[in-house]
Amino acid sequence: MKKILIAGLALSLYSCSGDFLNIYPETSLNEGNFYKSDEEFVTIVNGCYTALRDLEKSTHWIISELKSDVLAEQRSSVAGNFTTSRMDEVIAGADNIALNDFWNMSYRGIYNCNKAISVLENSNYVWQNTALQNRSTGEVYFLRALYYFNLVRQFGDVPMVTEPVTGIEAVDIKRSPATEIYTLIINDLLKAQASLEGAGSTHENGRVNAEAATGQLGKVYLTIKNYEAAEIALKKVIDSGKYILLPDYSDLFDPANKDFKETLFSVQYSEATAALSNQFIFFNAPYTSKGEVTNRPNIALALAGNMNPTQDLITAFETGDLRKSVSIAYWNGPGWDGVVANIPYCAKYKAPQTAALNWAGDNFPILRYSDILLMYAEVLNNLNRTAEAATYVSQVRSRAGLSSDLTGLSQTALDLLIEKERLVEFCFENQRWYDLIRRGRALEIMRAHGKDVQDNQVVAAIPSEQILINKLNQNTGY
Amino acid sequence: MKKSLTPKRLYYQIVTKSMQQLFLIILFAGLATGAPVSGQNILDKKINFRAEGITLQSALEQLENSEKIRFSYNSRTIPLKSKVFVNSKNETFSNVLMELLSPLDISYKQVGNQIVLRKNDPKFQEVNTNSQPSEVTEHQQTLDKSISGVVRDETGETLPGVNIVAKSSQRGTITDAEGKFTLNLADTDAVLVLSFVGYLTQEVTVSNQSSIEVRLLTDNKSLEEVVVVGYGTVKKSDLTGAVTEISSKTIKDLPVASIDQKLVGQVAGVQIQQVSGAPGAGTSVKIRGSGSLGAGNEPLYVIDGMPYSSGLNQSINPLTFINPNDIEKITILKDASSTAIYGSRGANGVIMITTKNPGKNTSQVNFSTYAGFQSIPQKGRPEMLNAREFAEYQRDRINLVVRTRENREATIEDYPVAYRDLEKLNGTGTNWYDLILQNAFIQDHNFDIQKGMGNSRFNFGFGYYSQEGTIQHTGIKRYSANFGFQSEILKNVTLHASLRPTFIDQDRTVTGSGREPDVTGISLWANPVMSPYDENGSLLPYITTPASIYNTTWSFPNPLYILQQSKRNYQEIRNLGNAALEWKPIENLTLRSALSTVVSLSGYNQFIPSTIGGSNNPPAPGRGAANRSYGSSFNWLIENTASYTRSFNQHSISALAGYTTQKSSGNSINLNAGPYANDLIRTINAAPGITGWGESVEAWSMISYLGRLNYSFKDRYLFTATLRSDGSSRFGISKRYALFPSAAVAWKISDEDFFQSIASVDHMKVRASYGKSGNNNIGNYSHLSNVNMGQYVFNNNTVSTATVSLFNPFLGWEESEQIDLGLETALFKGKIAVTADYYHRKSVNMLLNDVIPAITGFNNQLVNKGSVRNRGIELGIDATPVSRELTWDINFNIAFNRNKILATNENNDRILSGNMDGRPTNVSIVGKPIGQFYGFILDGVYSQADMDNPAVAKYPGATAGYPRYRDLNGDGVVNEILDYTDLGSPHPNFIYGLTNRLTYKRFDLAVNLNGQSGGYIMNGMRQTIDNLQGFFNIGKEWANRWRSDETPGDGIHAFGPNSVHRVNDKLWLEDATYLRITNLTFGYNIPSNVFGQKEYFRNLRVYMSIQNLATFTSYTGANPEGQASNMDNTLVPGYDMGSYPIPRTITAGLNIQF
Repeated sequence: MKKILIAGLALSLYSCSGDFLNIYPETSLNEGNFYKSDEEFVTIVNGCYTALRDLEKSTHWIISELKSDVLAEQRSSVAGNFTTSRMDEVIAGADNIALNDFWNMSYRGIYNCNKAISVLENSNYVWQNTALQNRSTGEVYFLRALYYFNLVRQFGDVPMVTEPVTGIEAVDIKRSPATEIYTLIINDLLKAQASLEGAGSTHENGRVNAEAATGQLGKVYLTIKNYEAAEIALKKVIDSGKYILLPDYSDLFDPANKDFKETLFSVQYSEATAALSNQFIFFNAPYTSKGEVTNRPNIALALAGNMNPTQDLITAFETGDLRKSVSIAYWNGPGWDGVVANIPYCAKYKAPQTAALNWAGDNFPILRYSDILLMYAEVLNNLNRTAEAATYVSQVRSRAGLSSDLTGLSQTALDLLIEKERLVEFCFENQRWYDLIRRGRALEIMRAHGKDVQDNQVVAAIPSEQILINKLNQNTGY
Repeated sequence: MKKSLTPKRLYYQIVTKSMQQLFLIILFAGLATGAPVSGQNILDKKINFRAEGITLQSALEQLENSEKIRFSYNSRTIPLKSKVFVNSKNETFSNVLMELLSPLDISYKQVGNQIVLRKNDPKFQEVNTNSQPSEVTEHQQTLDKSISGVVRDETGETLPGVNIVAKSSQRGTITDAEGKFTLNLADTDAVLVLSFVGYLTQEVTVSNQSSIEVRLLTDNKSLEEVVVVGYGTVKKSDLTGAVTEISSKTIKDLPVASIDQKLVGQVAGVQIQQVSGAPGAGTSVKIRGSGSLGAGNEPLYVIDGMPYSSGLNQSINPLTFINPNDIEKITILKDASSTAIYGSRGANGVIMITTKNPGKNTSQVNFSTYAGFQSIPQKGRPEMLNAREFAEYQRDRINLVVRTRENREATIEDYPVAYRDLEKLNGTGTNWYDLILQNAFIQDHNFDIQKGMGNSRFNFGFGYYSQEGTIQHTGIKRYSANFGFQSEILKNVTLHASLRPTFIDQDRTVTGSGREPDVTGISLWANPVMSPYDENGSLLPYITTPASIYNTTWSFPNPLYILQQSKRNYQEIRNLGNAALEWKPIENLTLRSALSTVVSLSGYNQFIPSTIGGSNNPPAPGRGAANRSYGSSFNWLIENTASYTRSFNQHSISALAGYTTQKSSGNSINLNAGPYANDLIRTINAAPGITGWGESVEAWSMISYLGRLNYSFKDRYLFTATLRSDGSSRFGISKRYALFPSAAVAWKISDEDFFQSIASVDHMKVRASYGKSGNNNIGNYSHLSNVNMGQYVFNNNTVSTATVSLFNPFLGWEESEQIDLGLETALFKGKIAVTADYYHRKSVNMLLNDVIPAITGFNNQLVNKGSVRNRGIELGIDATPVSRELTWDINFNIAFNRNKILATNENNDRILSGNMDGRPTNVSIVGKPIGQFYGFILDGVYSQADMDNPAVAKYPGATAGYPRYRDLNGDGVVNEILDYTDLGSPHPNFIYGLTNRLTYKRFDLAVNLNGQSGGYIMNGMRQTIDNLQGFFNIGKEWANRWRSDETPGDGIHAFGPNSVHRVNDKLWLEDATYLRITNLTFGYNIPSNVFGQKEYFRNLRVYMSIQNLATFTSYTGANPEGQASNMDNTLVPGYDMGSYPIPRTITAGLNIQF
């Protein structure tokens, strides 16, 4: 009995050491014990890519391809999804959730980049591998520029955040003029370009590299119509000789064959897990096709399957264009309204190879060599070097099996041809809407496409939640 | 222990040895509890006792403490303040008592472990504890009649020492050791008055019978009763805070799974909402309103001293693991002076549950059982269009499409075949809601035994509870056991131990979330024209709805088939253990060391076979999917307390100091597997792969110091102060320790001399308290900045990614300050007792998931900001208007609470919450109550004239027939969110409960009511059943919809090719006022001599009970207290989403005691 008493007392006198209250999560790491090696900094930089992966997977297509004349809601005439159908009709307001998601995800990506920049530049850590440090620095600046580039093209003036800020500080940050955002983007891309040139042998396929930074710089210059600067940047990529047009257009979109010969930069996906994969084919397959397009009859198309290529896109392909069958395929069956028809769908992103679930591994291109060529052609044409420009358009057309003899085309005709070539070359790659607004053709073409687009819809509405929380000014007309 | 072995000692040793082994097992299994011990032959025990010039009261208290007995007496008749002089050495206890009491003309009697004192009335000469009761022979009169009888308590146990007086002749006697009495009555005598301390005085009319049996009811309002409070007990009359005690007796026989459901309507200011009728589902409990924005409003449950859980769990109620049959008492601590002793966990109030102890030194065997059926009342079934109405509605839609698309009138051929013959559809078609319901069986059986021997006693019990769900293929089974043991292992050292293992086996389904696989959702919106069976009468797995080029369709899985074929099984075994040692090293000082543990192992097993499809997604082979999760947790608490009590002169002090440490850790693993090639083997090994997985490890720890001081002067002026310090691993490193003080005063006015003249007031006390308590439900690691690991892939090479979350090293507890003013009074000899409280509770440093600008990279962050006030009035009335042969007890309570947000963040931004198609549904604004409903103001329906008028604000895509919402911000466009406003409060104006108990002879009848007045509920199912897209069935009221400008219907029910229905004031919000007849019970006590002279049992009661007899409400959904399973009830209260309906349960039961 005494022993029990003693045992009881011993138990009861369980004393507190200071550690008793220090409990850290076992299933995750903590900032306090991080940043100790090159490898840990690299994981922070890798984390800057993830927001890009998520926004391209779920949201970006709604506010670019679906909004443009490339894709249309399958059900819009009957009962469209609230968010997507309003975007398709180009009547989306500040309450459109896709805009809200896009805003949030973009700024999440920017936060990750800012956090990475602050630890890369402010910690006392000395890198073991300088080339790796250069690569990492370049990646982060490139990605931040890309997030801002998408934001500024969608919303115009946006808040400029260049370091991690608290909620209280953020309330005071208002929208900066688009010109200042473009200055930041250009500076970031210049830093990225310089750093990545010092990355040496540390480059890995799929990561940002120096040519991607240069090519992206060209695209930004083209967007702000600084043709001289764009010419230099794009020429630099062409002259580097590192990129080619693949002989077969369809090889670009084969998930088994990840392309790094023509593609300067793409968002990388994998079939390995739900987080790493995309679901493009599951959005694109006709809603009623069950497993016949996806080859995964066990996967419900649920809310996906909302997009159809438009008739305007289909007719834009010239006869004999080899790109058409790669981009668009048909499935014969009953549509949403029960009518059996040949229903077109986007075939660029194919069914998963081995994954049993709705996990697909197609990469999503951001910048391709054909883009460089067509942008360069557009720049030259704008610099009144029309004949020279035509040769770059010909390169792209001949790969598509089309007549490459463009001699004698007027400057205007070539301009329109480039516009059309970009439409068919980059359909379903989130380029068209930006082409339309960059070239000032959005209202004209969308109205011809049958959408009653209001003038103000060229610039998207700032999400209403942010108007309320961040007290931002709204764009006109919303 | 080496002493000569007398047979008695041998017996004692055998028992204690085996008990020692048992204790070792218990201690290391980690378990236990107890109550006072008393010797068997206490009166024969030899003791030393010395009292020289102290009061009788002090002398009795000393004896109580040293001899572990209790004295019961009426403090009005016993001269407690008289000085006594005794000096006894090695005298028997009975002699000591004689020496102490006889000079004061007090007699005594041992009853169980109590000694009852009685002032000898000069009218009654004879009171000898050991003799047979004898008649009073003061004036020998004609013996007109003689009556004999037996007096029992409510449980059927006989009561010795009961005072019996004939009302007119004043002849009297008391009952003997067997509770029997005989009394000669004068012929004028017709009424006997029976009285006994602790019991209600009862009058019995005798006519011609010569033998009667009387049952005395416990006086629950007895002021001498001891109430359990945090870390101790206190006499009810000495309470200084707002504390309500409920005895298990008042809420027995209710056929429900857990104790919280029994408390509905019982206590003023405690709102218990039955958010779901699923077997084993949790309830939402709020004490004195909602005091939190981000940390939950559920009270802390403390079971036998162990803080057990808090937080709403709709799937499985943590209180289901406590068999209500094992519960002895429940105390609800409401004000901060009572809850501050629980520090950072006390802010939402504390519900203390005391389980049955091995209390009495007797043998007793109880068996109780009930069984019955549950059904869903017709009132609780939402009304939808029937088959014909639905077909007409579909035809209307097709007419419209044909007219607008093809500029012609539709013909019968344009309709799908199923909708063509309206005559054939004249019946109701399929009522899918009725289809999935069933009349369900419920049963509960409990057995327990108590046994005492020597210095040790134990109890053992087990229970089996089984409840089928009223939705088919759902249900719960509980197997519970309890073992309690206590022994005086050494002189002045007592050991208590208990084990309470419970196993739960629950079959679930999905309800309260709207679309599939939610079976209640599907059964509301499913097409009533379609049959659930094929032509052979077998159940169809999937319903393909008719489509044409003019109408769209929404095919769906058969909800009954989902229930039949899918498996969602949850099992958990949980054990509560308690072990405590109590040592009284010196007089008045008690040291207590206790170890409490909760161990749990749980598993969830889900398999959805390939035969179950989704919306417009028919089943296909090879889609089966499994989900498994396993969890275990261990929570231990060590408490060391010292308590000291002392009385001197007119002062009385009791002090408590304690030190406690607690740690809880748990982990769980979750696996998703599939898609299964076939449904033949459903275990993980047959899956082609694991499609998702996760592991979570959670832990927290606390170190606390606590203290309390009670001081009373003249037993009239009472003062209490408490202090607790909590250190918690959950708090940020910069804010780790918290201090929670409280103080309270009370004044028994009725004991003052000037009050004695007011005869109608038996007791009156005023009290005031102030205190601080906290709420620490902030998640275990919220203050840390986590580095979240993830993955990215570069050219098929997977790499690790790291992203850093925001952090807040200052994150701490939420703090609540409360002032309480109370009045307690008992009037007219206990016929009416009134308790009234006013409270003012201000919560500051609210744990707020603050919305921050998205440009930070995040949308919200957990911070301590903001403040909420709750203030209100509570009134409780206990009355016994009739207490003759027929007794009628009434308990009525009502509470008015007003909730108001005083501040949110720096800018006092509103907090948006809820999610309906991505839009918020509730808003919390400074100056208003938490979680106001948020949406559009509905201004009717757009006419064509409205459409042509640019001054009428519209939203994109609107046409005539669409709902017209008000453009509140005046920007000319109707915009989601920007044109939302707060539409009303989900909080009731007042809540109330009323319990009536009638007893007549052996019959008893109880009726319990409860309800609320005011407050809105949002009928979230309207997202679907108001959705006129044509996919879903719609509510009956849509028969009166807009059809054209000429036939606009009732002006609020819109109709368009694609209606845009959103949260709005007129359709979605409904009045949540309701009155529910919670329970009606009718019982009969069978006399123990029913089988002749031999008494086979002590007590046998049979009863019938109806739970949820009726609900009166205008709400059109199933349950005016429904809460969506996926919505937080703090910021999104009152959001119903087709919840599992509440059954009406009719049972018959039997309690027997041997």
